[in-house]
Amino acid sequence: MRDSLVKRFESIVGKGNLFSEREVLYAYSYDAAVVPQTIPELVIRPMDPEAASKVIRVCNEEDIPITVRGSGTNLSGGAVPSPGGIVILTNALNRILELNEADLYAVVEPGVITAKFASLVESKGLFYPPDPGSQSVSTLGGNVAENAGGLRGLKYGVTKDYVMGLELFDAEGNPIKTGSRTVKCVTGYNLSGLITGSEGTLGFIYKIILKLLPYPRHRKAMVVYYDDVMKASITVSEIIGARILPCTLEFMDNFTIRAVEAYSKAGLPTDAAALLLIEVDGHPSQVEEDSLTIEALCRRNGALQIKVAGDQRERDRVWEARRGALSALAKLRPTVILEDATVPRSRIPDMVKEVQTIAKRHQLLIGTFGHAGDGNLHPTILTDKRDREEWKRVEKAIEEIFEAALALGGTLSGEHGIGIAKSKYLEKETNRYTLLYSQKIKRALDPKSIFNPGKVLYE
Amino acid sequence: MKSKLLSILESLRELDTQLIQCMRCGMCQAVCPVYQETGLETDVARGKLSLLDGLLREILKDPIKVKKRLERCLLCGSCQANCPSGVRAVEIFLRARTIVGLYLGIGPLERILLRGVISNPRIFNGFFKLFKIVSKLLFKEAHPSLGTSCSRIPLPVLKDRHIKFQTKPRETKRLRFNTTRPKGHTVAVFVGCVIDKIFPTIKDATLDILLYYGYDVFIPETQACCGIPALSSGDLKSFEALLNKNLEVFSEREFEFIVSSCPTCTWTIKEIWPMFSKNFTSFRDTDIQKLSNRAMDINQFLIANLDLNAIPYARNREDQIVTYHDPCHLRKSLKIWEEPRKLVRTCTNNRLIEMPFSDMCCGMGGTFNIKYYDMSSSIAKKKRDYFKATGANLLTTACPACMFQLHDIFSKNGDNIEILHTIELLSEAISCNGSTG
Repeated sequence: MRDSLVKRFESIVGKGNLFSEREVLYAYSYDAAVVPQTIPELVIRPMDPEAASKVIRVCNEEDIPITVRGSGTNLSGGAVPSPGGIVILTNALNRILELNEADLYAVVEPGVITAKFASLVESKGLFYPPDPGSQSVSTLGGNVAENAGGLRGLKYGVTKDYVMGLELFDAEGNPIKTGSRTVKCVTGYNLSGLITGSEGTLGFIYKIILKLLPYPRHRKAMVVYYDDVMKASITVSEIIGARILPCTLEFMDNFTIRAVEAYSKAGLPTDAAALLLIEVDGHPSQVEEDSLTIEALCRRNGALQIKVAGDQRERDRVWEARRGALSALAKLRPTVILEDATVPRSRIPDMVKEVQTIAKRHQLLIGTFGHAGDGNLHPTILTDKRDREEWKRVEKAIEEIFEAALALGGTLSGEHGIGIAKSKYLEKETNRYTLLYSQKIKRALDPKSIFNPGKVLYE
Repeated sequence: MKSKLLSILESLRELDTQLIQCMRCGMCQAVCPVYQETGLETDVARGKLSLLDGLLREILKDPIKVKKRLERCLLCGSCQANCPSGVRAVEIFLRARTIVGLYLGIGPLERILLRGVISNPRIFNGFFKLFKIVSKLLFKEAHPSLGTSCSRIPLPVLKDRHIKFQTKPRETKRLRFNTTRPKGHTVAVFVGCVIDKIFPTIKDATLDILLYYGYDVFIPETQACCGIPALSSGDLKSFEALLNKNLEVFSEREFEFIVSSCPTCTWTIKEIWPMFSKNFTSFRDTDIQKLSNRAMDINQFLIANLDLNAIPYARNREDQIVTYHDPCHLRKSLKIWEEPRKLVRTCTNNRLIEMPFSDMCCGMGGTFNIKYYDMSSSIAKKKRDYFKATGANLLTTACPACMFQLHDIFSKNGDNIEILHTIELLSEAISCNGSTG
C-alpha cells in the first residue's frame, strides 16, 4: 500500500491503531473456516464510529476493499480479508450504550462480546436468547452481520428476531438509520432485515438496538437415549405436536456419542444410535407439567434411557455431553470442518442417514450433532488437510451433503453463513434471478464493491 | 546436548505436527489475560499458533521478531485449558522459544543471569546476599504490614514496583514434631527459587508440617532452580545444566515423593522435564521419569495423606474474611483446585468466600513481569478488583510467584490485607492450637 495512503489512515485512527507489520497482518488472514487465507494490506482499529466512517470514505475513494472483523470466529470465511483489502476491527467499539429495563431493549456497539452482554442482561432479570457456539468470544456486530443462531432457535428464534434497529455507514461513510426503539415500526423499508445476515457486504454496522425478554423463571433439562434415530425424530415431532416448544432440543448421533464417551468417560451408552438433550423453560408449574409430558412421550417412543436433571448440578451433567461434542470430535483428527446444512425437522432421520452414507462412500469420519428442534444439523467432517487425496474426498462429501439437504427441502446454511465457503452453491438453492437480484442490490448500495467483496455473492 | 542443527530440525518437525491441531476457532480469546488487555490477534494463542504455522521458516528469517511476539505470553496455560481441540499450546510456545533461542543464542543480559547466576546455586545465593545489602541503601519501606519496599529513586527495570523482599520469620513458633506416624516415609522437598529467596517462611512451614506429621524430610542443600526461567527464555543449555544438577542431588537418597510448595516447580518437574528430556543425551529418560512420577504439589500431598478432621482451625484468624486465588500452574496445568481449598476451609473453620474469576491469572508470568510490567500490573489490578468484591482481608494462594505479584499490587494501593500461602495458614492453625514447642 502506498505510504501516502497509510499516512492518511494513520492521521484518522492514530499510529497505535494502525498495524502494518507483516506478522500482525498474517494474524488477520484467517477466521474459523477451513478456507484459503488472504493477508490484508493493513489492519485498522477505529476507536470511535466517526473514525470508522472516515476510513470507509478513504477506502471508497481509493477502491480499497474492507473486511470488518469482530472476533474472527466466522465459519464460512466471511471475516477472511478480500485480496488487496484492509481489515477494520470493531473490538474497540465495545460500549453498551443503553440497557432499558422499562422498554426492554438495549443499544450496543458492534464490538460487545455476546456472552458478556447476555450475562449483564441476565443480571437485570432479562434475557437475550441468541447463543451461538462461539458466544464467549463472538461479537454482537458479527452475530448481526451473520444472523447467528444457536441452541435456542426453536422457541426463541435467531439473531434477526432480536434486531429492532441498526445504524450503519454506507460506502461513502454516511450514517444510515433503520428501525427504532419501539416494538412496532414501519417507517420505510425494513433495512435492518436486509443488513442482518448480509455478512459485511452492504455496510459497516456501528450501533445495534436489540430486543430483550424477561428471563424465564424456571428450566428443566433431560437427556434421552435411543437405539434408533427415527424414534428420536418421532419424539421431536410428537413434542411439538403436543404444543410444547422446548427452548433446547439437541441431537447427537452414535459417532458423536462414542467420541464424547471416549474422551470424557462419563458413562454414556455407546451403543445408543441417538441422544436428545431437551430443556424446557418458563413458569415453574408449566415447566414441570411439560417436562412430565415430554418424559412420557420419550418413553412411549422407546427411549433406552432418560435422565432428568433435578438441580443445577445435575443440569450441568446433563448438558456436559452436548457441550463436549465438538471438542470431543475435534480431538480425533487435525482438521475439523463444521457444516450446518439444515432440513425441515421431520427430515432429520433422512438427513442423518444421508450423511452416514456419504461418510461411508468417501471413507471419511463424520460425526453429526446439532439442533433437532429446528432441523439445523452439524455434520462434522474430521480430516487432515495436509492429506491431498483425502481432501479431495472431503470436498466431494461436502458437495453431496449440500445436495442432500436441498433435496430434502432444506438449506445450505442454517447459521454459519455463505461467506466464501459456500457462495458457489448459492444458485443451486435459489436460482439465477435471485442471484442477479441480490447483485443489483449490492451494486446499487456499494457501486465500487468495497464492502467485503467476494463474500456471499460469487463474483 | 545434541548438535544444534539436529535439535532445531527435530524441534521444528515436532512443532509442525502439533500446530496442525489448532482449528482456529478462537475460543482462547475468552481466557487469554494478555489478549484481554490488548485485543490483538497476535497476542492470543490462535494468532501465535498461526504465525508459527504459517511463518515457521520466518523463525529462521527474522528470529528476533518472532521472539518478541512469543514473549508476549504469560505461559499461564489458560488457552490450553480452554482449548476445544486440545492443542498443547504451552508446550508449543516453549518449544518455539527454544528453537529461537538455539538459533539466536540468548540475549547477553539473560545469558549472564541464567548461565552465570541461576545455574550455579552458590553464586545465586551470594548474588542475593549482595543484593540484599545494596537494596537496604536503595529502597525504602512501602507497606509495613505487607513488608514491601520501593525504590527511593526511579530506576529503569524496577519502575514503581513494590517489591517483596525476604519475609521475616513469623511470630508464631515453629511446630513441635509429632511423631505418631511410623518412621521410614521419606519425602524430598523441592524448595524453588522464589520460596528460597523471597518467602523462606513458606519453606519453614512446609518443613514443619512434614516433620510434624512424622515424615523424614530430605532437602538437598545444593538443589538447583527447576529450570523454567531458562527454558522460557529459550536457553536449553542452562535448562539442561539445571536438570543435571537436580538429578544428581536428588539421587543421593531414596524417597517416596518429591513435594513442592511452588506449583510452577511441581509442574516443571512433572511435565516439562519429561517433555524436553528427549532433547538431551547427558542423562537417561528413566531418571527423569522417576522424579517426575513422584512429584506432587504440597496441597495435593497433604490432602491425600492427612485426616482433615484432625486439623484445627487458626483461632488467631477468626475475625478475618478469607478468599483463595488459583495459581495458573496449579489449577490449569496440574488440575488441582479442590485440595488447597479443602486446606483453607479446614484452617478457617469453613470461612472461605470464593472471589469472582478466582482462576484468572494474576499477570505475573515470570519474565513477562519484567518485560511487560505495565501490562502485568494492569492484569493484577483486575485480580485486585475481584478480591475487593468479596470484602475479604486475607488472601490465600498456593504459589510464591503469585504472592510476589499480589504483594506488589496490593501494596501499591495501600490495601489492608494479608497474603498467605495455604501451607503457612496450615502451619499457623496447628501451632496456635497448642502444638508448639
